[in-house]
Amino acid sequence: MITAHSVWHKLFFAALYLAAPLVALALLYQLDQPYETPESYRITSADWVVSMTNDPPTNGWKPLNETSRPQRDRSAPFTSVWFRVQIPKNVEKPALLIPYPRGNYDIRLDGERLFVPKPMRRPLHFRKRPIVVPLGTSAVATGEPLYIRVARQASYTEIRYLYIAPVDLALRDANEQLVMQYYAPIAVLVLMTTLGLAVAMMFFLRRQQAAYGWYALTILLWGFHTAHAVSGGVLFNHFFWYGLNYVSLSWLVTELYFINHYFEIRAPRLERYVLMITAGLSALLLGAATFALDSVRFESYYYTMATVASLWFMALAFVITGRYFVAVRKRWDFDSVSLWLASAVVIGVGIRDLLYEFGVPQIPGTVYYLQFVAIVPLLLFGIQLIRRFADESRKAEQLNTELQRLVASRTADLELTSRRLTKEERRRVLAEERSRLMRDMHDGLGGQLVHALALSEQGKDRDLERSLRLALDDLRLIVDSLSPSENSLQDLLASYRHRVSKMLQRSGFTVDWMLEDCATQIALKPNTALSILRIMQEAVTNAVRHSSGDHLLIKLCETDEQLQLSVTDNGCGIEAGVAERGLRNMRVRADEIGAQLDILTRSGKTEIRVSLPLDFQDVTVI
Amino acid sequence: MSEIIDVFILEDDVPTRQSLQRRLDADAGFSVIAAVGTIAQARTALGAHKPDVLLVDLQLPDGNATALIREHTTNTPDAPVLVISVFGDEERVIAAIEAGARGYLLKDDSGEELVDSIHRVRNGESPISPAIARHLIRRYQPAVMQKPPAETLEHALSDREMEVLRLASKGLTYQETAQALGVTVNTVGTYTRRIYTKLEVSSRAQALFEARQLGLMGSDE
Repeated sequence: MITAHSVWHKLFFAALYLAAPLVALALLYQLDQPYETPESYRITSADWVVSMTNDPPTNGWKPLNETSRPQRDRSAPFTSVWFRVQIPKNVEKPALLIPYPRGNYDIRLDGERLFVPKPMRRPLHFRKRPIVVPLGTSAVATGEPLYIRVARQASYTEIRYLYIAPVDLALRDANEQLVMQYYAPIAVLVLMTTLGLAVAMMFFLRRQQAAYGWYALTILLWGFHTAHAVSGGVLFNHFFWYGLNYVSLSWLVTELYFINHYFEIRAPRLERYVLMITAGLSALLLGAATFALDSVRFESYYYTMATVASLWFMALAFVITGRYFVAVRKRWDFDSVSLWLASAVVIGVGIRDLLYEFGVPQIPGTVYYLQFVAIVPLLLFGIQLIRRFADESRKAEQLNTELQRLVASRTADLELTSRRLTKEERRRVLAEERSRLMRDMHDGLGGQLVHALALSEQGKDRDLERSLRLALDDLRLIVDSLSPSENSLQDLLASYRHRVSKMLQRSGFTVDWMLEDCATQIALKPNTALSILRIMQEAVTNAVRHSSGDHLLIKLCETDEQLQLSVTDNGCGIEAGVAERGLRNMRVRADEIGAQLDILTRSGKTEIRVSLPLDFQDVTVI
Repeated sequence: MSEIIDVFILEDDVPTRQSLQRRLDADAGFSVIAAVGTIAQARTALGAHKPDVLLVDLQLPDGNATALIREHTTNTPDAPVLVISVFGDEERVIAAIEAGARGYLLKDDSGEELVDSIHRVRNGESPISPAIARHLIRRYQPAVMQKPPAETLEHALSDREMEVLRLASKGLTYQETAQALGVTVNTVGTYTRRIYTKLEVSSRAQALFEARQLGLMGSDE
């Protein structure tokens, strides 16, 4: 389904993805200004002494040169070096510029503290903002030396990074450096933390998606690392912080997960190994870093682990780039191309940083760029994760709406069908019932009334009375079978039994009723029940009129899925001809309902038996 | 049975009325003191006569006789009313029994049966057809009874009475019921009379209760 909205949507994100890495590079290029302070102002000569004293020491000073450089005193809790610098006379309005501070500083001139340090204790304060200290002309004139104490946790520092330059130049450089060294990392930190929290929230909403979880974890880890650095980093020793530098590269694992997930590459084993190795290396590295400050052994472990980790992450980066390359060829769309582009930019910047580290002079810039550029793919992942989450939520909502609509329409359909069916069913049942009633009236009552009419014409009053009684009895059966409350055979039989008992008694008959409970519980269709009762009535009437016996056995039982009704008398058997009409009637009725009629005569007893196969479509057990 | 029983007949179909009258007159123990065809005539006649037994058809040209039955049984409970009916088990007969009728006769009963039925009713035996028995069972079954008024509970049937109803609902005669319960026919008769009385009283209480619920009667009643 392509709509104008979705096209604009796609274009917007494509532009964003393609622009993000380029914008990042452009920003770096724009923001990272080279030092404008000429190299001539760099401090090139100084005296030094390694000392933990709070004031400049009076003796032990050594000149700084290739063979004499400050070394770390391992018995001290941290490295503390005092430098003594002669202020050049030719600089107008001189100021001390530390463009790239990485520790705690104390600066004295003529017994006066020009830069007040943070407390000198472990873990040391970690200053990241450039320092500019105006030196004042009067002090310079007296020729007093400048004392600079540099305190760091991990290693010594070079005095050569420092400048004594005109204050205006120094201030401008410091302000420009402030952007790259302080504000840019803070901006990245805010960005990362926001993304990390957003994705973490999505992870908690949809737990089955591990990619969200890993993304949130690594990005927040990195954010924590940056926050620690920017805030002055007094939580851990510096080794630990540098260790975190490497550990925060575990976002590469997330990237691998993400690519696999995104391009639907199933590699659970690879993912598991990568995760295990990264976690193991991180644990070893941070473990070594924890003790590296006070132990030469752990310091060397730390450096070994750091090397292994950098090689590992570099290898990972190459594997990921390769995967990208393969995957992008499989799926050539904006999303994948932009991811690949971002990745390429990261690799390029990584190479630039390496060259910068090795001091290749043609490399522009003043800082490592990877810390800023690596955020770009993470940002893109984040956006894509959020987008996908939103897409899926919307899709789920659409599906839901669609489903509801479908259910509603189906329900309406069903209702309509069911109403129509009910109506038709009712009409059908009504028609059936009406035709049954008509047939019953026709066959039974009609015939009997015509018979009665003929009898009355002939003046045969006794016969007439009998015929009318028969008609009335039949009508009673019809009425019983129609009664809505008498729908089981039991109820119908009860009514019949009640009625016939008096008559039998008057006729001098004794009756045994053997009605099995289970058989009487069967509910037959009204016409079936009526036929059974009519057969029974006929049989009883025949017996009373013709058998000349005085006992009846009326039996109802259920055997072999057959309902069996029998009427047995103890009379003289069926006299041929006499009961012929009654027997014919019974046979016709039995045929109508698919039952079998048997007449058994044995030692003076006559049994009339109806066997009705129980078709369970017609029968319900109540 | 030395006394002559005075019978009152309300039946609109003239041949049926005459047939009934003829059949009863044939027996020396009965005297038909009035035989009328409308409710209005019946009211007039009942003002003048005090019959021992009333035979009443329900559907009459000037209305249904149920109200008349209720009136009569309230004023003169000693003279039982028997409903004359073709089938004996319609809803109408049940309604009449609830109104106070003590039983029913079938219009085609022979004279013998007619006499027998009247004697039985005067002895307190009321006939219970299976349909009526079923109706009563449904009515008194606690599970189906919904929020009965207190009056109805007072007239709940005893286990024995319930048993009689159950056997009657299966179509058993008095004799068969008595045999099955191991009691005399007279005892069964006593049970059935009690059942009828309870039914009448409870239905009256029910009617009263419902009327009160509807606010048709003052609370000072």
